[in-house]
Amino acid sequence: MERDCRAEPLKKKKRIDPMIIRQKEERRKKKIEKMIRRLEKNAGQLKPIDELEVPHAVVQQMDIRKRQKVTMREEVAEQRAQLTKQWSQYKFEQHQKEVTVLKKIIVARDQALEELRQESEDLWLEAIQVDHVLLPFKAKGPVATSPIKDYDTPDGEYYNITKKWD
Amino acid sequence: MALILRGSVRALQAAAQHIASRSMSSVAAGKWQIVGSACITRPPVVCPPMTSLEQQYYEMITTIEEENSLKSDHEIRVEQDRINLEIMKTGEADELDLEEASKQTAIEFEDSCLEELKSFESTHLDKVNHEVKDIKSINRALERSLILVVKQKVGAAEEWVFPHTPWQPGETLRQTCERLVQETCGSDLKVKFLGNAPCGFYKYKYPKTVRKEGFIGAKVFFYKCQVRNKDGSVIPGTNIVDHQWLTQDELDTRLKQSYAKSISKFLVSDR
Repeated sequence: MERDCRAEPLKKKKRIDPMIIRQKEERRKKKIEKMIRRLEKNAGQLKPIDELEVPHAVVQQMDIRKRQKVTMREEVAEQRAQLTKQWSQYKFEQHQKEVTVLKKIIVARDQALEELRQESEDLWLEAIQVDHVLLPFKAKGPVATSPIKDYDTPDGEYYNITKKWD
Repeated sequence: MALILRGSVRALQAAAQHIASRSMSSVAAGKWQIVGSACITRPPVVCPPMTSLEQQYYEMITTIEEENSLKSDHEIRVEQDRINLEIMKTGEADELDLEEASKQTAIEFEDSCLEELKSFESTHLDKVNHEVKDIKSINRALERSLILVVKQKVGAAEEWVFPHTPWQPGETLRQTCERLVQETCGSDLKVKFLGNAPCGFYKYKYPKTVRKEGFIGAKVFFYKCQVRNKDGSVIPGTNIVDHQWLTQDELDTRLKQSYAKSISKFLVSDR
C-alpha cells in the first residue's frame, strides 16, 4: 500500500503494423548502405599532386593553348630515329665502361687486401672492418657554371606552401 | 655499395667478427716495409661541355618536348599583342586598346629580361672564365678531377709520387694515411677517406746496398680520399719538396711507368 505513486502511469503500448516496422528497418539499412558507398567512393580517390595537375585556368583556355599539329617531314622523322639509336648505343657503351671500371677497382682492392694479409694479419683484419662513418655518403655534384667568388646573393626566404593530404 | 660486401671479403669478415675488440697492431714481422700512401682527389667542380652527339640529342628532345606542350602565358601574351597591334594599325582602336598599348608588350618584356641577363653575365661571368694556369692550385681544370702528386724523398733520390709515409706500429693503415695527410698537406685541406680498405698497392725492392733493418723492399698501400673543401690549400710539410695537382692524363708523364701502372688500376677516369 506504500508504493511510490509519483510516477506517471505507463502508457499503453500501441500495436504497430509489422509491415511498417519492416519498412522502417529497410529505410535505415538503405541509408547506412548509401553512406558506406559514399565513403568508399572517397577512399578510392588518389591524393592530388599539385605539380601533375593541369591548372584549372589552363584547362578552361585549352582552345587557345593547344598548338597546331605540325606535319613532320619524313627526313626529320628518320633523322630523329637515327639519333635515338645513336644515343642508346652511346649510353650503352658508357654503362659498359662504368661496369668495367668498377670491376677493375674491386679486383685492385682485393689484391691489395691479399698482399696486406701476407704482410700482417692484424692490419688486414682492421682493413676489412666496415666503415660506419662512410655511409650515408654525401657529395655535391658538379655545377653548370663555375662558382662566382664573393657573390652577393639577393635577400629572400623560401617558404614551402605545398598542401598536405593526410 | 652492395658490390663492396661481396665474395671473399664477406666470408673473411664473418671470421673476423669475434676479434672485434682487438688492441692496436703490434710490430709487423715481415720482409717488406709497410708504407701508407694517400691518393688525394679533388672531384670536378664544373660540368664538362657536351659532346656533339649529346648536343644534338639535347636539341632533339627539347624540340619534341616543345611540340608536345601547351602554349605558355608568355606566348599567349605575344599573340594577343600582335592581334592588338593589327587592330591599332587598321585604325579601329578604342580607348581601351590605347590603354593596353601604353603598357609594356610581351616582346618588350622579353627584351628587357635578355638585357638583364647580358648585364649579369658581363659583370660576373667574365671574372670566372679566366682559367687558372697554376699547376699547384687546386682550382685549375675545374671540369676534370685532380690528384695530388708530391716530390718526396724515396730512398736516396727525390721522386714524384703520391704522398707516402712508413707505417708505425700502434696504428692502423688508415690512421697512417690520416696522419700522412695532416703532415704533408697541413690542416687547411679537409679530406674524406673512402673506407678502411686500401684501394691498391705497389711493391718495390730496395737496392742491395740500402737493405736496412732486414727489409728487402717496401709495399705501398694506397688509400683513396676526396677533398671536401674546394678552397683548401696545400701547406707542404717538411719532407715535401714540391707538389702539383694533376689530371689523370698528366699523371702518366709525371710518374714512373711501373708506379703509374699500379695506380691506373684503381683510378676512375673522368673522360
